[in-house]
Amino acid sequence: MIRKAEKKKTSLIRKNGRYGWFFISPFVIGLVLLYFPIIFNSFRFSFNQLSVGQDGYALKFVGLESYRYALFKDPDFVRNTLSLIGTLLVQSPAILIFSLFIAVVLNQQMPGRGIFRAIFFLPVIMATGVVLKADMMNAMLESLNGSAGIDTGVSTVTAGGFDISNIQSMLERMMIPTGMVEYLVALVNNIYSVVNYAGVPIILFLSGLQGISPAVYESARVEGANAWESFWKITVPLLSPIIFVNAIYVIIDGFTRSNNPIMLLIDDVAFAKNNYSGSSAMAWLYFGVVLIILGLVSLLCYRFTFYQERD
Amino acid sequence: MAKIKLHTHRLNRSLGGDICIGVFLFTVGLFMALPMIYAICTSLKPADELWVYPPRFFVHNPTFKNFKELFRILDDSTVPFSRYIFNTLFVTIVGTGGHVVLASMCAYALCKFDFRGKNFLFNIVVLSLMFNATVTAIPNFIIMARLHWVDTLAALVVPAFGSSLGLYLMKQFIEQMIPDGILEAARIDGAGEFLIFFRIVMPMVKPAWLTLVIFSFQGLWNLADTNYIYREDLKPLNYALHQILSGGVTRVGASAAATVLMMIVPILIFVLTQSQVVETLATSGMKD
Repeated sequence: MIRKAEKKKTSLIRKNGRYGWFFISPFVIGLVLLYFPIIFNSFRFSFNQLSVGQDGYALKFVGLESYRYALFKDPDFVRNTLSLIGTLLVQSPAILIFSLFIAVVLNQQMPGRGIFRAIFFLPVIMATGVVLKADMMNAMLESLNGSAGIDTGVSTVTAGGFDISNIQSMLERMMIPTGMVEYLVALVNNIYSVVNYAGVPIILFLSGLQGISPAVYESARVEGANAWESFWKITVPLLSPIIFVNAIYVIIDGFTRSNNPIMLLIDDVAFAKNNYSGSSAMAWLYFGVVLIILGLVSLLCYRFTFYQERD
Repeated sequence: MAKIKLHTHRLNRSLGGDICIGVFLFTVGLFMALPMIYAICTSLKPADELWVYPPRFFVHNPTFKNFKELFRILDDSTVPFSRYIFNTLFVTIVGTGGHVVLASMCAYALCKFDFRGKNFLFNIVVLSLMFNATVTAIPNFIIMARLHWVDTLAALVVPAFGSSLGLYLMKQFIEQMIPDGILEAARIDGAGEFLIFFRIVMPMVKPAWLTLVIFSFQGLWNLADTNYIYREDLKPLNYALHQILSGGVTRVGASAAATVLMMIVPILIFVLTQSQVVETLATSGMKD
C-alpha cells in the first residue's frame, strides 16, 4: 500500500514537471535558436578581429588583444565605467524611494488619480519615442544657431535630443532669467533624472500594491494601527519582493540605458571606429562589472525580502 | 474572486494632508508633463512662431496647419501610408499578445512546477536582461540573416516574444500573488493545466500582465530600429515618419505634429489598461 502511494506521488511530480517543460518550451526554443547564438557570437568576436569583406565577415584570432585595448588603450572606458557606477549608486536608491512613495500616494482614492498615473508614466513614453522628437529639436536648434541646418537641409539625429538635457532650454524658453535657470538646473538635474526614470518602477509598485489584500489593512486598522505603522508593518514587508524586483530593474536600466556614456562609447567604438572586437570586449567587461554589482545587491536585498506564506 | 468595494480613504486623514499631497503631486506631475506640453505647443505653432528668436515655450496663435501639412506630406509617400500603419499595428499587436501569453506561461512554469534545469533557466533570463541591443547588434543581424528573416516582419515580432524583462516581472508577480493552495484546489477539482493557467492564474495576475501590455506595446509602437527591414513596404510607422519628415527645417512643424500623434496612442493604451488595473482588486480567494 505504502509503496504504491509513493510510486503514485513520484509519477505525479514527474507529470507536473512535464507540464512545466511544456509551458516553458516556447521560451527555451527561442533561447536556443535565437539567443544563445547571439551571445556566443558576441563572445567569440571579442577574441577575434572582425573584418568585413565581400563574401561576409572574416575572423582572425587575436586572443586578449581587444581586452587589453578596452582596459589600457581606450581613454574613456575605465573612467566612464567608474563614474557611471558612482552616479547610479546615488541615483538608484533615490529612484526606488521616490517611486515607492509616489506609488503609495497614487494607490489611494483621490480625484484625478488616473490622470496623475498617466502623467507619471509620460517620461517612459517620451523616452522611447525619441527619434522623431530628437530630429525636430535638432533641426530647430541647429538652425537657431545659424548653422548647417539651413544650408544643407539635413539634420542629424542624436538620441536624447529632446529629453531632460533640454530642460534648461525649455526653462529659458519660459522666460526665466538665465542665472536662476542655471541654479535650478544644477539643483534639479539629478532630481529630474530620478523623476524621469521612476516611470516604470512606479507602475510595478502600483501593480504590486494591488496584490496586497485590503483585508490586512482593515484588520490592522481595527487593531488601532495608524497609516504610518501600517505602511512600515504591512506595505513594506508585503511589497518587499517587488522592491527587490524594482531594485534589480533600476540598476539594470541604469546600466543598459542606451544613452549612458558606456553604451554610447561601445556604439561609437563598434560603428564609428569599426573596431567591433574592441567593443565586444568592452561589452563583456562591462557585463562582468554589472553582474558583480547585481550579485552584491541581490545578496543584500535577499536578506530583507519577505515572501508571504500563503498556503 | 469576489470584487470588494474599498474605502481606502481613511477617516482620520486630514484635509491639510490631502492638500499637501495634491500640491506635491501637481508640482512633480507638472515637471513630468513639461516635455509633453512643449511638444503639443510646438505642434500648434505657426511657422513664424517656430522660428521666433528667442524661442517661446507656449504657443500664441495656435493653428492646425502643421497637422494639415503632415497629412499632405503623407499623401505623397510612395508606399501607401496605410501600409506603414498596418505594419506597426501588426508588429505591435502580435508581438505584445504573443509576448504576454508566452512570458506568463513560462513564468508560471518557473514558479509553480518542479523540474530539472529550472533555476538554470531563470538565471539565464536574469542575465539576459543585461544585454543591450547595441551590444549585440552584429551577432543579432547574423542570426536573422541565417534564419532568412531579414526583410520579414518576423524579425521584429519574434524577438519581441522573448523579451526577458516581461518574463522576469511575471515570475515575480506570480510568486507574490498566486498561492499554491488555489492551484491544488483546482487540480483536485479536476481542472487541466491549461484551464488552470487561463482561468485561474491569468485572471489573478491581471494587474501584472496589463502592465506588461503597456511596456511591450509602447516599446513596439515606437520601434524605429530597422536593422532587419530594408523593404520600403515593410517598414514600421515610426521609422517611416522619421524618414519622411527628416527633410530638414521646412518640415519641423509637421514633424512636431507627427510626434504628438504618435504619442497619443501609447498614452491611450496606458489609460485604458490602468483603468482595468484599478478594477481588479480581489482577494486571493483563500480562506486561511
